[in-house]
Amino acid sequence: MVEDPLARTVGGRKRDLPGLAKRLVKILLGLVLTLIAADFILLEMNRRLLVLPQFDMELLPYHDPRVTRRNALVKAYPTPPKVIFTGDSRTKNGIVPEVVARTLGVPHQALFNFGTGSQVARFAREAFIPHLIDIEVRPEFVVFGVSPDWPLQKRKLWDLIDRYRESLAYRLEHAPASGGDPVEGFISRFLSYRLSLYRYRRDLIEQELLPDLRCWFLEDCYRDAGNPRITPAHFKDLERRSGFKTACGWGPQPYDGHTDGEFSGRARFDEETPLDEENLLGLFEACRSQGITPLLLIMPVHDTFRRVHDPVMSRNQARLEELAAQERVDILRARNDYGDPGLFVDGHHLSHRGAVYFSADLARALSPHLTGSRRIRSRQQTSAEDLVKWIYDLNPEIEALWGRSVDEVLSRDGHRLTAGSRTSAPNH
Amino acid sequence: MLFNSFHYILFFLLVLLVTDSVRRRRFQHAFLLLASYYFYWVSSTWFVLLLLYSSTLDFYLGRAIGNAKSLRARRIYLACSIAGNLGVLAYFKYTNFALSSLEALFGSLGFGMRLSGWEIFLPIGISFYTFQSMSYTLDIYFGKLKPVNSIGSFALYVSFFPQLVAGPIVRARHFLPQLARMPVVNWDQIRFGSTLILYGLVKKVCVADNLSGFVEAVFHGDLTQDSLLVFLGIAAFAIQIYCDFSGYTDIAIGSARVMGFRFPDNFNYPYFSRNITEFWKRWHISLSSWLRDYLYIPLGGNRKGRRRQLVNLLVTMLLGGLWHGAAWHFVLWGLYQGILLILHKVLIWRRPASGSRIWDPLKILGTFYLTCIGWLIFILPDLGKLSFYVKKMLFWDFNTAGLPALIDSHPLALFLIAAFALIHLLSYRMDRLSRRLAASRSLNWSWIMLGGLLVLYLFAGGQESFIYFQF
Repeated sequence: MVEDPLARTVGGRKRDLPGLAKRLVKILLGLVLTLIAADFILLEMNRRLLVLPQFDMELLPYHDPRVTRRNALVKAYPTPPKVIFTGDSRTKNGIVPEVVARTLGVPHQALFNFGTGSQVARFAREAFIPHLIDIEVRPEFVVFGVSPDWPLQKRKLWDLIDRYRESLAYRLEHAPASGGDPVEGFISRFLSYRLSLYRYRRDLIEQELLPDLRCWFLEDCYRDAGNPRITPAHFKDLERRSGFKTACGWGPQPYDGHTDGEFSGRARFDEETPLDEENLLGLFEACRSQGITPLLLIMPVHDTFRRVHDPVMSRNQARLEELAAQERVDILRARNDYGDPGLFVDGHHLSHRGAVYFSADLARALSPHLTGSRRIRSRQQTSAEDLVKWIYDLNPEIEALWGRSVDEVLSRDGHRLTAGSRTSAPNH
Repeated sequence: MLFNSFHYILFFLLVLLVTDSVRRRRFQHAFLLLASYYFYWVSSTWFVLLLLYSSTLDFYLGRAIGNAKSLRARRIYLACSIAGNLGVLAYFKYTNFALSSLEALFGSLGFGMRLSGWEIFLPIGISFYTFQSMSYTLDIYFGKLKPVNSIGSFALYVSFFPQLVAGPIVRARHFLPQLARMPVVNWDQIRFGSTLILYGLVKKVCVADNLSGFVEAVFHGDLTQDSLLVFLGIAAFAIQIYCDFSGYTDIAIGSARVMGFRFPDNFNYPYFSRNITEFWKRWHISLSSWLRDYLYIPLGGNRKGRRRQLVNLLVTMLLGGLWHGAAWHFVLWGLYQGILLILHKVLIWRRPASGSRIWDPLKILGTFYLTCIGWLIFILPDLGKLSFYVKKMLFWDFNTAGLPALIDSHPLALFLIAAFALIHLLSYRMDRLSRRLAASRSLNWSWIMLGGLLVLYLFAGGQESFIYFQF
């Protein structure tokens, strides 16, 4: 049995403990200084993309690091953008607002890509639109990128609404007015705003520590190492790429250059997952009640994707068009040909040049809403190839993070942008 | 105020610094009393008056019992104390339960009426401090204690913050003598106490809170689970409730120890019990000994024949079940525990234990299995659900095909179950790990504490309140 320290004390006599207060204060001060130093080191490592490269650890986290960064970017706009694109990862990767703006001849700050990843209509209705209102960014148009999954009742993705509301930034903004322990609330708020070690605790564990441990001890460092159709990528490289986004919110596909572009594998949905009509109607209503005009944008997919998902996909799309017509919501469509697999990463996520190609195409569809004319005003005769070069020049980080020059991107696998991709405004 | 909050850490450090700097016992007690009332105010605001009520009532009735000349007068004063304490407890905790039960009874007889649904706030920890305060008058009545002279000391005994809201239920005869002398604070105790606090925090925040999601997923979904999942789920709950409650107790004992006070142990490796009687000697010791001393023994204990002893056991456990909550499933849980105790008693009477330890592992597993069935009753108020899960525990239909998916979806919970089993076994074999850690050499101890803090930082689940607060 281990000795009980109290048994050693003499009953009734106090053994003085000189300097308890001083010693405690010293320990506390030491702890505080250590924490401040550790926090500084952490932030510095984050700035150098060594720790949590997907995050900007100076910001308060929303449920998803990409939301956090985009939130900061859009709030940095001098005035709210006129058009915000949102949707799942296909939208996030597939729309380059800079390219749309350049093609239309409007300032970049008129557009923003706020794709959140794994988004479905219900998330857009219950989290995204209220979020815009919360941060006082009220665009004239919100363009919802309609990927084949986005309008479906994918219940497993509904958890993201709770995750959004449980995120630190949301909770801090929506702290209950009464109830709870106010002192605890004050300390938590203080630490959340001052200490990145505190506000990113969970992400440091889930996104950094555990994958690092898996890499070090289980040598599980490469994603998709077992898939013969994907060139494996180190998870840290993928995270760095996922963390990157342009000033207007475009997040280039991290797997670009690692695949043949065609869809493979099982269907992502079937007739068991119906269209989420209730939330789609609710979403249109939510937008209009805030004075926002909702627009739907059909995101392109490669034929290899369509073959696996038809006829369900076409049926869903037809029903969506009926609903949109009934609710008088305009649908924007791509006009170009998307048969080249090099425009995709996996048949449904656009590659870098696919995103540029699509964005130029999209500009034409968006023109009547943004400029009031079907004609594109820009006098620049710009090919999609030039636009890819331009966006790479504008964001030199892309070449560094993906480790490829723009020429390699344009000539990959011998695929080159076809003549049909020429966005020779204003003739289109 | 939760123990697992920054507010408590700040509060505790301030209390420690002030009590250390105050040199006069009376002022020290006055400050501790004030701090304890503040502690209770944070979570219960004006219900702090209930504390004042219990303390005043029992202080004066205790004195009256001590000074009473006749047995009749002593009995009357004791009855007043019991009625005054249990009346408050009954009103706050059992009014709606009693009314809804009556409502159901009348409804079944064809007299439908609305009785329940009163908005009664249940003050945190009321069951604990009421029992604690009552033990004072009971001890004076039974001649085990003399009335205390200072109402301040008595009020501090009732409200002392480390044990105020979830025990251990400290007896007056253990605590009041400690108030008679200046609390002894030294580095040994600070080391010992802070190790216990950290150990308790790790149990609560890293184990119990992280297991709660898994338990929720198993028992609040559709009734499609196989026996393996039910076993894992209820084992997780067994660990969760143990780590939650014993974690709280560790923090309470540790906090008191840092300030120079000593509380009795409340847990002694209950899941290593070889039978259910032993389990109740190891689980929530302060409550089971309270029930033994102030209910079971006054009812006659084992002094009035075997049949009466079994009845006494059953009544004690039924009331013990009801103490845990105002709901029929807690009564059923008490009944289940009472029946198990009776069966064990009968078994020993027929076949006394041989003393051989060869069957101990099997006995331990068997007791754990029976305890787990009890936990099912404890957490499931719905009888339909309960019967489904109990059937799964009794008639096994293990489906190991789903195991990889299970591991994939709940890796942390399964890791914690395994880690807890290992560390708990080690701690049991090494005779209290926390005490050994506290007794390490200074440098080692510093590393242990730093490691503990790191574990706390890395594995802390969400800040959840303690399960036993509701009782």
